[in-house]
Amino acid sequence: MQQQWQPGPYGQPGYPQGGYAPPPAAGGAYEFSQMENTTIGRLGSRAKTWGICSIVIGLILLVLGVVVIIAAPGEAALPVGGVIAVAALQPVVSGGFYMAAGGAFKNVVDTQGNDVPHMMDAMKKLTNAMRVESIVALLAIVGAVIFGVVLAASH
Amino acid sequence: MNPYQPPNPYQQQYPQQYPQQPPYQPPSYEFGEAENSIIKSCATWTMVLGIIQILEGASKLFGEGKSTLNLIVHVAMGVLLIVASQSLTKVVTTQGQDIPHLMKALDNFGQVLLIRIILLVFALIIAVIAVVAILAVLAAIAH
Repeated sequence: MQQQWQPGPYGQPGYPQGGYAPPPAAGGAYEFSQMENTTIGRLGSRAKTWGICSIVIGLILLVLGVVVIIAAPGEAALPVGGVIAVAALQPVVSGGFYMAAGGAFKNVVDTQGNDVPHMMDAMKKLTNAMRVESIVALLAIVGAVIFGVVLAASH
Repeated sequence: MNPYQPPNPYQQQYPQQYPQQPPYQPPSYEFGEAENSIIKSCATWTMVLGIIQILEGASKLFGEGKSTLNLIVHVAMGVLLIVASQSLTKVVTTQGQDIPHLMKALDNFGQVLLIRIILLVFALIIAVIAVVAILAVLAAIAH
């Protein structure tokens, strides 16, 4: 069983006798220090803020896409509006993951006894947000290259 | 403590010393195998996104909308993400410094998100100014 990390008698953290330093533990409980919590809390706030911004951007794009489909004249309205509406899904989905990651980072700071599981939860959500962003960006790059090649071939 | 006892000469010589205790070393924590797997996946996608950011910045050098500022901002975000990815990789591959490496990566993530938020605020301000200018022009034409 892992020994709990308790404050020492002279204001220092535990294991005071003989200055014993604990061996590295694999897994188990770990409580982030105040300085570490500051970094984590700051990231959590920014992730939440960015998530909200991202969702708002996505919703604006979605509305714009629908407006183009309904109101714009000509045959191009449907494909153009459709592309805008589909593109709006990326910021909405990744924004949701960023918000969730921000909440999990906040949990690391606000709770005790489960810092590492909360941190891993936050890392998973952050990874999902970046995965969605990366895949959509890669698809956009491939699409742009194909469009460029087709355009060059047609001329 | 007795206020009338004679002063201890050793206490004056070594007022704050605890000779049995060497300087405090913070506890080191090693992530387990399952945790390393999550961190490794995060490192991979952070690296991918960092490279994409740099490519996106490089693309701003070509075409009609050339922008050096855009290039600098995208490359800065890309570099921060790549550095974060390297720190996360060190969490998995090294021992004894997992938490400091993780904190460095989280700090870099935070900086990238801050840059994004600042850019968005700037974009919003420019958009509001543009809308106000357009409305002013339209109002002037109507009169």
